[in-house]
Amino acid sequence: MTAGRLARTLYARASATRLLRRPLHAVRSHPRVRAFARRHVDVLLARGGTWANVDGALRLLAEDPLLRIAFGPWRGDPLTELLYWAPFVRWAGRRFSLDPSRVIVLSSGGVGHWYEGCGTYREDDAAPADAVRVTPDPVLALVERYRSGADAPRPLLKRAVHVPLPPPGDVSARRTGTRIAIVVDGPVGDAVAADREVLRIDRSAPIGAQHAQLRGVDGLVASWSGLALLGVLAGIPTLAVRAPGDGVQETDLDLASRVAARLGTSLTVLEAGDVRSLAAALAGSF
Amino acid sequence: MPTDHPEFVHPSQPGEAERLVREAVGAIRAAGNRVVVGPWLGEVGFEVLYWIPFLRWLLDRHGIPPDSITVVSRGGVEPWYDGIAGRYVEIFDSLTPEEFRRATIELWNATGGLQKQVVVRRWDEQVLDSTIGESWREGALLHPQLLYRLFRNVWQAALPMRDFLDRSIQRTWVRPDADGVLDRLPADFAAVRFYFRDSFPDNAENRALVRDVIERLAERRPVVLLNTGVVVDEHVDAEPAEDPRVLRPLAGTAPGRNLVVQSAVLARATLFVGTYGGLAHLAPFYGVPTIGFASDPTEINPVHLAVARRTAVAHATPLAVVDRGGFGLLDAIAARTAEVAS
Repeated sequence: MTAGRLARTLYARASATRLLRRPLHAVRSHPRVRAFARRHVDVLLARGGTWANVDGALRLLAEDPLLRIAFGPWRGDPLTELLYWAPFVRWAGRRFSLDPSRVIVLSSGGVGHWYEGCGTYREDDAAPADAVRVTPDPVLALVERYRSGADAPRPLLKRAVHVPLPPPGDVSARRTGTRIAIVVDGPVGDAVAADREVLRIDRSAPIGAQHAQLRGVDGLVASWSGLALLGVLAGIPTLAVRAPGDGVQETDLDLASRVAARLGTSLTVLEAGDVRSLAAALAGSF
Repeated sequence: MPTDHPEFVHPSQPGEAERLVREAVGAIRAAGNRVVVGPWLGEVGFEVLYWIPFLRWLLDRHGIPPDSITVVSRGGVEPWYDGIAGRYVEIFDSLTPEEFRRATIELWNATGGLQKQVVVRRWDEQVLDSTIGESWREGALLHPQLLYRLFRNVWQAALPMRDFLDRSIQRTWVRPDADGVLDRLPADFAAVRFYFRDSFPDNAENRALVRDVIERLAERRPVVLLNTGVVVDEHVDAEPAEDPRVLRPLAGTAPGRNLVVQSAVLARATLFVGTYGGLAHLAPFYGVPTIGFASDPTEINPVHLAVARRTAVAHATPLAVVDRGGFGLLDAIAARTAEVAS
């Protein structure tokens, strides 16, 4: 056991001891201690590089019940947000028992329901002045190590909580067994039987609104994107279509397959040409 | 002789994988490149998805010539090892499927359900003694334990998948022959094999699904069932009802040929549909579009799913792993394709 881990273990035990709880709380609440801890959080997050640093920063934040924590702002694409960042924020809240009243989540696109239970959602780039910011940068740096194949999935998986995300809005919308949402144009998008009701998703709408359009849908055909992953998270059988040489991260697809399997949703990822050849083979029209 | 508690390569053991490979290659070289590969006693999925691509890498990378290599496996799968081994020895030429199945189940019971060949056990030695005699002890033995030691922690997500992918080579597989069966096949057919397993359990819903899917396929082209009746593990085939559009040319196939005959038929199919696993892993190696069913995907190791997907991409072949809803979606697209074609 390293000295740091030993110290943390003793500290955790002392914090759990009724006799020591109050004096330790008084020490932690002292303005100088709080200021020191806050500076150390910034140091750990700026240093990044390892999950231990990220964990250490979150642990320090969790120990000061007076501190507000702002996760974000998220300025990246919805796919990465859904696959990595939002599950990380969810994990952090649960792992460190962060009181949601202390937590602010900063993102955009009307995606507050993705962070339900985590804290207060704001469509804003700026965190309140009194909040400590946990930006996506150190987490994304570690995600990149997984994406490049350098790191195993397990450390990332331990810090990600993927949950079903039903489309927001009227919960009475029921599936009919015939309604398919299509967001791929061209030969694949047009290739759905006439006996199916086809819904065209408005891709110009914010991603949160696109999510809402999936209500009552029984199948989704979409290019590999945040919306395709939303189909999976919404429990909708999804066919994600790739274009040749699209530069999609294979490790993203690996993780998405894992999420789909865990949530019990069917996700098929194929290149457009393969969709056509599989459909032709299934149709008996070779 | 290894212990029954082997060390698996772990991130905390840098260089361990290279050491294990070096030792295996060193043993082969010390035996003048004379090596027995196997015996493979496990599932088809692991053999085709991991074992054979790994062997191709290992032997190719270290320049070990095929003519000094003997492979021991079962089901007549010599063509799977094309280019790897100069000699193939069939387990079912020396052991009956009943003996094989009984010993396998006894082993599972004795090891608490541990099915994988993580060490060389007495049963492995008995198989080798029965099939090729004592002579195997004079050469090197390249046992599947190496595969499990190297990659178990890849399957447990504790090592990157790259650790396996960088140690595998994908090649197009040759289509095997099967005398007396191929000439009875229709020119255009869908190959089908459903069986029950944890990810596709035996229940009324899945039995209905098998019935519906086969009916849907048979409306469009003849269906050829790949069921042979050979049972060597705990998996039970789903047997569809009699239907003149559903052909069963493999019923009664000899155990020593069951997998190669299945392969020969599968390789000539326009489409394979069946339970995810086993033959659904094999079909993409022959370039056959594949739909594998898993009604409970939580029972599937996601790493196997990812490797299967990447393998299918390497063979430029579509692979879809679906449940009823996912199949419905593909079927809707197929129906439209048929409309347009007509």
